Amino acid sequence: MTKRWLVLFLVLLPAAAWADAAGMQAAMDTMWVVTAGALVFFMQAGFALLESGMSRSKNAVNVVMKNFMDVCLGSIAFWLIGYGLMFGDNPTGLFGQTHFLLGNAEHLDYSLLFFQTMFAATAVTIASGAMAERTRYHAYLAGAVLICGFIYPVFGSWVWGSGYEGEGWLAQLGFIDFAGSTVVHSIGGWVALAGIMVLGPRLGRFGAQGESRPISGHNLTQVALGGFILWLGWFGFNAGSTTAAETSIGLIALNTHLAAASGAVGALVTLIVLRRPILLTQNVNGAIGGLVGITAGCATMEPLFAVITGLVAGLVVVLGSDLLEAFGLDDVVGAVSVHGFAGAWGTLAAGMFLTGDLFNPVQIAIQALGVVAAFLWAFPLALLMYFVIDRVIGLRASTVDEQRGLDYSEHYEVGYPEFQREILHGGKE
Amino acid sequence: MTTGIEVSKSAEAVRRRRAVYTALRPFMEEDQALEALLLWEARFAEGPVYALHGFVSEVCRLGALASRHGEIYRSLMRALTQDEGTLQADPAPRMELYAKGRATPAAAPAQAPVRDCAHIVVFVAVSDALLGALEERDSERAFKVRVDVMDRLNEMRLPPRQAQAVNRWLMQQGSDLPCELEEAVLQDLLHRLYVRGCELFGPVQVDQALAEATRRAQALPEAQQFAPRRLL
Repeated sequence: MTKRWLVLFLVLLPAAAWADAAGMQAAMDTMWVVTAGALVFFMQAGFALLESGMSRSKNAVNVVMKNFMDVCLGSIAFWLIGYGLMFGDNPTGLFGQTHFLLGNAEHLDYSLLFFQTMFAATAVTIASGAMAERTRYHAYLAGAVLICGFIYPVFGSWVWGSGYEGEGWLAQLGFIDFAGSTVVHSIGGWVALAGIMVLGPRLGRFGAQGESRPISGHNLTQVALGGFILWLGWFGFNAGSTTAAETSIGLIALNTHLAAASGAVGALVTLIVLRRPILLTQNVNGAIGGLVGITAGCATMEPLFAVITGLVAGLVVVLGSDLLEAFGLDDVVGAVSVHGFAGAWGTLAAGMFLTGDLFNPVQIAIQALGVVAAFLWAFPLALLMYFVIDRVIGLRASTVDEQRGLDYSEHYEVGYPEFQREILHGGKE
Repeated sequence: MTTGIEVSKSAEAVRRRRAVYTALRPFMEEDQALEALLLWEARFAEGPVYALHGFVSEVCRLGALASRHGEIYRSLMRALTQDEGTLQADPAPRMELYAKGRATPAAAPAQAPVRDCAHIVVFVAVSDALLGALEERDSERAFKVRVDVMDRLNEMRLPPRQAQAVNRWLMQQGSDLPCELEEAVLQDLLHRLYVRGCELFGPVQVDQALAEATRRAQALPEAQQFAPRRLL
């Protein structure tokens, strides 16, 4: 009898140990994904600081309010419908069809939903900075809900829509976008581009002959702090995209850091070569451009290529801003060049610098297809969306509101009452 | 603002005045037509034919009739050449009565207590400081701000006399603004100066100039009755 128990114990011990290890791994994965999700959430603070710092003081509250509430509304929209569209069973490869209003699910599903909600919130908040200082609050929020609930998740399903059953059509082709240079950032950038086209520039931003008149932000220290916070949050954004606590996190975090650093250097060198002032905003945007650029290939390229990706992203950010200005497009924070253009570049770089398969033209072509598909999906749809919102709700604030500042006209409060009390208007009608 | 009139007495001047009155009357009320005739006598009666365009533009601005500019011009050309027997009677006596009646309220602001006109004093202080700051940067462009705002004054749909007063004030013709201009009108006018200023100078310079102008106006005694920020 004793022998039998001994044999049974010896047989079951490895299985129990294995089960314990699997449980431990699952717990660690969950811990890592949730922690990374929290880091991604913290990026919202970075966006809020960076965007409000780049805006005039009379619009500081409005910018922060947009950042705050688009996360709130966007998160609910993503839980209601976005997650299902993006990660639900995807038999057609075009959009998910299950897992709406997720509940009564596995613990790991909740972790994934939490993490991906933060991604959706990031995608939606990109447009807010570009459209700052002249957008009506309610109209902006209406757009944010539609982006989080439809535009972002449908494209996301094409690339990442293999969470349960089926696979997105771009994923089937072998499109690489590890953490979302295109899925999150380019989509956000193209939506922002549509937004600023429908809105038009801020009052007096361009002269009659199209000459650019820069409008400086009110707090550059805040911009730098926002940049640092985004940088920190990006470690969660990229390394968390493993959705597992595994050893590749080290390479991903290192690549992320190197690309950010070289993005700032790329912007710096570009400014020096062009004999331009070394602006803090451009350097911070260069670093963020590097982060956006490396997001697609952070897990699949060597550090040397992460540096190259970042350097080029810094260049793209500076020249991209010039391009927009040449077309009379007013992007307050440079979101289109940082997220749209650098995201597109980063997606191509992920194909070019793929470890073990460098410069494979087929892979690069697939990457280019994904970049074009993202633009063709998000830009016209966002253009239509903002056009309809403009007609129905009214997207553009009046010139009176622009004069008074959106803090007061949209929220009836001010960011800096000690300094602004003399120039506040008498009251809201 | 014109407070009295001197109408031309020559036969040709009378004929032309009757023609102008005949031409304008279908487009406007009696008071507006008389106001336009005062303008005619003051600035255009002796002018060449091509000055008619300028007259019609001013009339349209006074009466918010920009969309009917062409019709009024054609009506005027017809009347100036048509048979004298078909023209209306000389409106000179009514013009004199109108000018006298108008002089009383126009003089009132000067005699009114300061608190009643505080909004005008504060508005003039703010806008003068704003435009002065812009003139320091570029006098030509600052003048263009005034002209452009004047050109679109008809959008404000002011009564003719108020529109004329604002017009002259914008053109720096030494004329005071009437006390009857309401706060909302002044707010709108300042906003128009701000918007055109932003378009011509950029928002940064204009925001700074406006903040400084408001700060300075705060020191006026009238600011106790009417805070400058009410104009913003």
